Amino acid sequence: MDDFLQYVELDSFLHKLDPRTKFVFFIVMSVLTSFVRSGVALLFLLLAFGVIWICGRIGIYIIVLAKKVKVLLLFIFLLWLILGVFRVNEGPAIYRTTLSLLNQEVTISLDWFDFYKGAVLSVRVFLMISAFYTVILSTNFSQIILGLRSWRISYALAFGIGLVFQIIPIIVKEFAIIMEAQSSRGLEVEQCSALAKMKNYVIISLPLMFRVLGKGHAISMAMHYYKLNFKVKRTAYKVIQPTYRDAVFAVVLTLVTAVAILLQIRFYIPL
Amino acid sequence: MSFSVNSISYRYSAEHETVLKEVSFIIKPGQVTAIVGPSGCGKSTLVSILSGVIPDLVSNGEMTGSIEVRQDALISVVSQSPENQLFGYGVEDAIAFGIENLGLDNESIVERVEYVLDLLNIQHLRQRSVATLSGGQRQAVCIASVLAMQPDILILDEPVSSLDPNGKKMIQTVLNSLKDAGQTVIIFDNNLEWSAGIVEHIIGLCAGEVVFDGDKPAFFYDADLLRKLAVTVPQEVEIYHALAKSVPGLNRFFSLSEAKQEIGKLISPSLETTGCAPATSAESASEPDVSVVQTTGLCKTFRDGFNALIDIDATFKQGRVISILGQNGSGKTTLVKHLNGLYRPSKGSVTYRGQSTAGKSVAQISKDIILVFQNPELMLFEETVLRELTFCARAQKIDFNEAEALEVLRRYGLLSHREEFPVNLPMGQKHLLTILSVLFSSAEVVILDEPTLGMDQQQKQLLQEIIRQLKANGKTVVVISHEIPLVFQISDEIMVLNNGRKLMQDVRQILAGCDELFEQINIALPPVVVLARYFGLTPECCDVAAFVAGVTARLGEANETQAERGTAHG
Amino acid sequence: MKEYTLHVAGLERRLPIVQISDALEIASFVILGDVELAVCAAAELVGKLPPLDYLITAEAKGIPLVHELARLMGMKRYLVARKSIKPYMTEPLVIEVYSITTQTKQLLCLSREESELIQGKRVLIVDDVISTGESIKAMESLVKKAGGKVVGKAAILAEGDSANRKDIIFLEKLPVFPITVSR
Repeated sequence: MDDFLQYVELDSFLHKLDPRTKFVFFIVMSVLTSFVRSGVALLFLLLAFGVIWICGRIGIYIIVLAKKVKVLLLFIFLLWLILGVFRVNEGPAIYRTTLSLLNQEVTISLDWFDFYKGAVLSVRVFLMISAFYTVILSTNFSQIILGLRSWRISYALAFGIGLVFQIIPIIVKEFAIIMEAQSSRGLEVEQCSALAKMKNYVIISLPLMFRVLGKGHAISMAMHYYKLNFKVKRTAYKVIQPTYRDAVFAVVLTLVTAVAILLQIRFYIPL
Repeated sequence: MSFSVNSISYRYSAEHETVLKEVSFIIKPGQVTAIVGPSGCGKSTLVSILSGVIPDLVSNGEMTGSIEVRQDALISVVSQSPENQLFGYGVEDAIAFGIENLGLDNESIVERVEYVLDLLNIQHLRQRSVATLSGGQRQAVCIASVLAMQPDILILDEPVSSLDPNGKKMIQTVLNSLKDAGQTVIIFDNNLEWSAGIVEHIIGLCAGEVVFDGDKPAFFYDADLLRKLAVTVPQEVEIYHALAKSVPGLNRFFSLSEAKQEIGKLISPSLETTGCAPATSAESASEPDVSVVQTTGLCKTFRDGFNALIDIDATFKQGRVISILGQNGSGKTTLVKHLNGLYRPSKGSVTYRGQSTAGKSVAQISKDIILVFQNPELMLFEETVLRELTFCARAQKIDFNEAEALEVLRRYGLLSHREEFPVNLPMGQKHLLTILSVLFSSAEVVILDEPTLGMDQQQKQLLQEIIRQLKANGKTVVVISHEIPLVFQISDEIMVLNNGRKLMQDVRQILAGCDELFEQINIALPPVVVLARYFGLTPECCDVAAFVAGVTARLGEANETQAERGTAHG
Repeated sequence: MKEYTLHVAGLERRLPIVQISDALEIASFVILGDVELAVCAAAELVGKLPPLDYLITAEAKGIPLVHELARLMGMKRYLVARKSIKPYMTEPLVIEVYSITTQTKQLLCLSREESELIQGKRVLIVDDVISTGESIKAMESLVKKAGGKVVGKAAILAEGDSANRKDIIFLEKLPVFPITVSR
């Protein structure tokens, strides 16, 4: 899975959007998902996201993301489920019993509400993560830098952020190649015990670290060759300009936000 | 406006030894200079000093001497791995990066970007993303990005070492365009094979001192100097020196056309043009052919639908050295990665001694078939050179004798470094080390991917020794290399791949006759083969020694016939 | 070098085919320096033009064509929109064009006298080849900003899909050559 956590070049409306529009999308969605707690509203948001993903042709990559974070989401779900077990909540119960522990009456109640709460919280986390990932998938790092710059963010910071996104795919690939190279020399990485696997990861991470350090050195030299000086004002070759697509998307985003807030107000079950 | 270096001496710190000793030279404007020297001679330090990295980024060394250059001259460098140097997702972003930093107005930026795209003939790449470019294209874009800043001096640091023949040709064209445009260029590369046609001025560096500073003909004429500097020269020069030892009165030649002319004064060219000659070599008949690795109907289609390999049937016999040739993208690396299990076939099978390799892990297969990757930095991690040498043995749980290991280190010049951090060795020695570690494994088949990367000529000789040693021990050696003269020198068999298909696999003598094949894959046959065919010498001439023997034999015959005629008329 | 033989204005020209991107090759049409071509093409175009007051082109490849057209029509002046502000332009009229294909911005400029000249007049836009249509569109904006009226757009050749456009006058179609790589 060497496409993970990086820009994918596709011909979709998402890719043609102005990067700033996508930043706004991410900010609005982060704010929204942090205070929206109504299950109905969240489901609506998930649906809206799904439509965006399908139109943006990045559906497959979001599924990959979902697979990679499913452990995290499951963990959140179960955590709230277990915490909720120790509280008696309103609404129908699935299983309720009272135990006697250490001379105290303890009621354990597994309610539908607990499922609801766990689901709501894990969906919220997924929406937040996937909003960010949507931006990453559809905006390459040069566009990210241009977008941040036009919002008057200092070039040093914008360049640093862009560099991170430039380096991530390279490091992911290097790790895979190092694994191949070492296993070709005799290092068993496929059919071995978990302990051995952990030991092997050390053997792989050392060359990786040297390579990363080497790259860091090469990058700082390259910055010197290109006379990169954060104190000098920089100009830009490319210009980003919003088009009608950004206007359409902004309208859609506003509508979705409005509906979500409406649903939140009408269908809110206090958590 | 010349550029002169005056008595530069440098050491990294008071404890280190002096890396550069009183280095002085002058570069004339518009000249193409090559600076050569064996591994560890101080070339990279010199690059850092010339480009200003020392003292700007690395400030704790001690430097004496000065560089005399125009006040605000820009000296820029194109490093050997452009992926570490290009900043920008798309080609245009990457090219504009440097000039954006200079704060030029938008109009000038656009003008300069167009200029370099046109000069280097890469207009058709402008909408691509850097990550999808081939090695040669990426290097060309890197040169464009630096050129757009209009540097006074452009330094190229080993620009073609990781490129395939197509990539090398692209950079040769680029270099010619630069020369025509009057750009002052300095090339740091110990391999002069690709640049000999363009370079005019050569500076030789050995152990930090300038041992040669002059023009190309004088440089190529001095055989001792070439050996001392461990330079990889065009094969024509090698042929000249080898021939000059046994043939008196031979004029100098350094290019193919000159060679034909000069040798033609002694022996006459053949009138026949032979195609792929039938096998007459004694080699193929003597030993029994034991097939060790075999692929049958091997096909590989990647996830994105790309057909990397199409129906490959290949046999690798015991005790043979088989080289695989082809441009990048022809499927060479994909094929060898199937041999050791890194890739699994979409269709077809891979067998080792009759048994399929499916189901075994790569490490298990490595007990029989081992693959050494081309970049040693991906593998070195041990604390000492000695431990790194024995890594394979220990990973495969094979016993080894420490005395043997030390002997190997001694034979290949690494004994003095045995307690050092392998990561600190120069590239050529790192590479030798990773290849040597294979000697202590149990593998019967050794696959070497671009084994010459980073090596100077002397290390390449050591490599050839290692391969000969492996062969003598009955191992099968598979080599992927872009150095065609070397391939013809060391191989028994050569396999040619193109666009995922196997075009041919046969003994080298037969491949030496296949002009159309090599034209199809756009790879030039080595000069020694071309000359041997031109003069109608027996098809055995795939290396310099055989060629010299052939020529002296022919001369001997000619003298005999002359002598006979003389006595007949006398 | 592959070539495409073009027949236009009663002449035959061999155009080199160059690769401009991974998927596309085009025939490279160069009018600069070709006197015969400019003269014959102008002669054939002039009959197809609507009534107009001024001709305008952007530097530089349309210049020989527009010069010949103006001469045939007995005009004393034609206009050339420059790609940067030149010193002779006092108070220039400038439009900024954002190209979607290259994501860069370019300028088109006229001097004040030139922009006053075409105010309220009928202007025809001329170019050597129309390919993406972006430069024609840019010139239209420039003429409109100056207050002129665009009465037509003309070129010698229309490349690829532009040949299907109904709003441009051209003599011949210039085909494009998509590259297909099958593997």
